[in-house]
Amino acid sequence: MPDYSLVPVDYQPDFGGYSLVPVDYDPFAADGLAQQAQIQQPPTPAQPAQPQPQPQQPATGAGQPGVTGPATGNSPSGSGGGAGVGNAGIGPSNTTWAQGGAPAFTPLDGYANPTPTESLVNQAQKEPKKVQVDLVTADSSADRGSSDIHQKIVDRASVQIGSGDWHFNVAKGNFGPNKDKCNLFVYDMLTDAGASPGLPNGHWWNPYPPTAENWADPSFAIPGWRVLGSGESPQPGDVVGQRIQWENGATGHVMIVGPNATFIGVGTSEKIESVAPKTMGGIYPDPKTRPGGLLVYRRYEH
Amino acid sequence: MPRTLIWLLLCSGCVFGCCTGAAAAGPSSGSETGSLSEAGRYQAYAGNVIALDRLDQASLTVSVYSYLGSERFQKLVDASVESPELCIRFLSEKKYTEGQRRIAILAMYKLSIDQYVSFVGNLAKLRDKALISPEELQHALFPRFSVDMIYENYEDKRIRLLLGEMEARDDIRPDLKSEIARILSGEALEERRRFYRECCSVLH
Repeated sequence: MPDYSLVPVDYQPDFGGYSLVPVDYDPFAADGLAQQAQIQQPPTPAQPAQPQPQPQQPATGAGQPGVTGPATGNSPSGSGGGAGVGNAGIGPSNTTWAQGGAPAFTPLDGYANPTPTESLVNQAQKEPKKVQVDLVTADSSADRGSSDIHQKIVDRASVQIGSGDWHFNVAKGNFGPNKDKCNLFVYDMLTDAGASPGLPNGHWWNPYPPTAENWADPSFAIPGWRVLGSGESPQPGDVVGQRIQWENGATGHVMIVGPNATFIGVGTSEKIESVAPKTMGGIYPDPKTRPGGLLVYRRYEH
Repeated sequence: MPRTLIWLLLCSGCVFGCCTGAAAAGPSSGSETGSLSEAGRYQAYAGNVIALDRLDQASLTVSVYSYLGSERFQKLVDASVESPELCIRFLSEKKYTEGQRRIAILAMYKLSIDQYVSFVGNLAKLRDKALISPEELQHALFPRFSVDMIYENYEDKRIRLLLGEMEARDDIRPDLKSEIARILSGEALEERRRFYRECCSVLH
């Protein structure tokens, strides 16, 4: 990484007219985040960067802010899994997203705006040790079985940050070299964590995992993975997909929702990266030319 | 004698003038940087790469495909097609970061076959001088946004010659050498077409 600040202070992307999140509010834009970030609480005592067995933290229930957040469960298409009703997890006031000085996000129709003082990529890279802290707190509202899976997903994905195993020009599984593998990474992490989305594509003798486009299509049923409904907020361990039709035929991008308001997946470097949520489509000054559909989140529920 | 000397001076001046004129005029067709000198064009190019890298980090791009829709990136692509030597010069200078160099290589995806073969050949020379990494050579060999061009033109003599040269190099990964062999045999294209038919559709 370059050793200089790369964030133009006056850079204000225009995201007007776009809504990428098919839920009512941006979970990464809670007011509390900014406040927490400014307070700069001392980091929680040394947490290892590597995944650890999940500590047996008691669910705090009603005392935990945000755990009873809105959960209308109205899936955009009425398909794609369960009803989406129940504990939605982290609500707008929940501070778990902000632990460790998470960056302040500005709600811009589903986009997160970078803080003017430092690249969020840099911040995310400085915060790998917060992974376990946030997860422990974040899963306190859900049933333990699902939470274990969600944590495992994040654990598995976090361990791979920096890995080039899913690089475009590396062969992996039945994906040869010079092929996109963002969906293969997600599939591998989910399967390793016990939440396989199945292999819906291809032939039975040579099947393939869901594509990014599949993940981003609310009407495409992925067993065990329901589409988050309106009012639900993404949690670590969820999957986010976006359909983007690129000129070379690629159909979108898919990543895993990580802790501290991050996405984990194949990044611009082709290695596994942890990045702050942003338009999956990328850098488009002109909204009219910005490709990409809604961000569609899914959650594993068995 | 003085007349001869004057004539020689005038001729050399003409030649010099023509050279510089050509250098300046060459890139001017259809380019907003056309009026710039060679050095100016290079500075503009390098500045664009650096700015794009900054913008990338500032806006937290999450997929390499994000570049494709960026106006600034497309300007870089246009400049690269017009003057591939800009990228070669850029990569030959050690002062640029890995991310900046990666962007410069990514932007070479609209080259013609002739340009592509020449570009990769030049990068192989840079690699021989240890000015670029093996990974950078491999990324140039398999251009991220236009790699299908190599597979689909595997019968083209220029492509075959280049791939043969690359396959013989010591700094190309073994798995990529295998892929080169599969490309040259036509097997890779067939497999690639089958992959895209099957990977993204429910067939069973």
